[in-house]
Amino acid sequence: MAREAEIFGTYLAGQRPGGDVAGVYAAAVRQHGLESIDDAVLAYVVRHPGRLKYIDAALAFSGRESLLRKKLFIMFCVLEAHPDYCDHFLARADNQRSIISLFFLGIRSAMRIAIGKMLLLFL
Amino acid sequence: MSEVHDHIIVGSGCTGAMAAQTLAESGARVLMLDAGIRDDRYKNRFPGKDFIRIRKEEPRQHEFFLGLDFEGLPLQKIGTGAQLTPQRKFMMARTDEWLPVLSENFFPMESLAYGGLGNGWGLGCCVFSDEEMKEAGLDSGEMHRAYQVVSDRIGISGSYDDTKAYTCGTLQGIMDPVSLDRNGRELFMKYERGKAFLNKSGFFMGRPALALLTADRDGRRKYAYRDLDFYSDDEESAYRPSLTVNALKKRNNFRYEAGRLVHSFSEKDGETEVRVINMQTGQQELFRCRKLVLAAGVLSTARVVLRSFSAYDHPLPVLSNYYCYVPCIQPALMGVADEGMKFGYAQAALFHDEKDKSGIAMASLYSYRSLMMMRLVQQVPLEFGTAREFLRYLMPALMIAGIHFPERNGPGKRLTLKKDAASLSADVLSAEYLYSGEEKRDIAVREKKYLRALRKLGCWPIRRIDPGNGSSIHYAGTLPFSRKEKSFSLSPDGRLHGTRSVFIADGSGFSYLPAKGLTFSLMANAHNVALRVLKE
Repeated sequence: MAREAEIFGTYLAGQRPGGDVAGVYAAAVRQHGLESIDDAVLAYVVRHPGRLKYIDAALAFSGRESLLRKKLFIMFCVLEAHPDYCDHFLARADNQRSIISLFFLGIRSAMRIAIGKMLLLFL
Repeated sequence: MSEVHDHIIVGSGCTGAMAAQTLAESGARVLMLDAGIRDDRYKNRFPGKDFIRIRKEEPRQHEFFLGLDFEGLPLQKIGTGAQLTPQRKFMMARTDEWLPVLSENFFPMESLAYGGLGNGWGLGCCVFSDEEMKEAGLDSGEMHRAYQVVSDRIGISGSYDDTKAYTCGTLQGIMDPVSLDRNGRELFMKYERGKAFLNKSGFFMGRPALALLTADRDGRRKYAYRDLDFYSDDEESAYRPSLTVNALKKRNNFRYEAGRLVHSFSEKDGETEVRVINMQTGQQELFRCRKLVLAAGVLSTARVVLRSFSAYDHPLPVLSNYYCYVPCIQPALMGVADEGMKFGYAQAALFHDEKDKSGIAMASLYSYRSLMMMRLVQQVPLEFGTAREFLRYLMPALMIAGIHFPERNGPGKRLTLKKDAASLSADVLSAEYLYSGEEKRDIAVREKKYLRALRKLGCWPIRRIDPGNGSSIHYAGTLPFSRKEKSFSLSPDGRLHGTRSVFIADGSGFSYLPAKGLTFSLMANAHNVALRVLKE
């Protein structure tokens, strides 16, 4: 669970989660009965953390109920409700570039979905 | 023999509290029977800071926002009550056990909490028009007087603007409205520009009247703009029925019994016997009174009445406003820096009134922040990292339009009580809620008109979300008002036909459900029922 928390936290916040993040994540996962489920996709991203963004993108498109998405969502919530990471979740003041930024984020995401779909085929 | 009370009131929600106040202030001895579930775990837990400071400074904020048991993690699908914060979850506690509902197409929210569903009331106050009252079976003269009484009791802020006929009506003594945040200001700027077109299309927008204090009053403090409206209200600026019941408990002629679930009643020798389940022991208890006032909420009242007449499998009509919500983007505010002041209650009320028999529809418009990104992110079909980046741009521009439609009875909208040995109360409420083809078409046409109006207001709809029948949390019409003495209906004074001294003070009698916020009218009707109880 600690390894999972490290991978998910780094993926979502761009930095290795410190403080009590891993502990809070583990408690939340346990509370929702998701701690001891054997899952091939989850095992794969723990082995290959660099591919998480592609797998997540593919599952966001067609696999929202998957265990990986649920666990990522729990980490998302834990980070959002933490003072060290809340700035990653508050409004971004960047009016001029917002439309262009959203466009490029969309293109990047579409590419990740395509790669993620291919990776999932081999799992 | 047990004591005979003058009046027993069932339920501590908005209607029970109002009826109890009217009765207790007359000097009568009043007993309130209530399940009365409370959750004090979060009481006084919030530091005296605003939302942003808590986010930036509080190391254990996950205890408030995710819950002490992580019960606030929004892992379930969208549906009735899905958006409740940890602090409000207790509203629905133990309802699965004690108030089971069996349905494939009706998903109501009920409450066994102290203060009932009033704990989560959005505070919107609307007066019904004379036509709406007539169709609902209410006396307009008495209702207008009662609106003023309730307004004086609970404290209302609002504005006499374009929509005053729908919101404040002729109410006197309302307080200034709360300040708008940036989303609200943008909205009203667009409304002023497009007003001629919108009004011609039947749309009128104004400030909602809210049961929210903007000036200190009766020991309650004015609204503090901390943007914690879904979590805490240390100032008690928002009206909640528990405030009324707390005050009543200080009176010698008022008694409150928690942990009691009223099962049924019977009349005998000029008295009413009330059979009650003690929720702690599971034992049955008996209370006696001269007059019984049921204010348990429409569905619970239906259970009590059907059990009392052993009318299992007898169908009752039911009404619940069709409701959908539409997240919208105000493009002008995308990527704009967050401003400190935000407001969780409705910024604006947008009424659609074509002055015909279709009735008035109502949308409440909210800006979004304190419910946090976690409640939105799963709706974005992108990986979490990118979805977060998207939402950071979009959140300052996000508004939610919650649209209510007026509701009339139909053959597909029915409740029945069925025996069920597995249930704690030995029965289960079975519900069916189906719209006719014509109703579905009317709703779809009206929705399209709303989407057009929202675009005119600079709010671009992203998607339309239908949380399912029953999600409006407005219920009525199970025991409709009737001048004829017929079973399972109410006389115009609120007495249950077939009884001498059983009155119903919740919305069971309303035979039509206007789209406007219902709670204020429910409270006014409860006050009127209590006055009639005193007269008889």
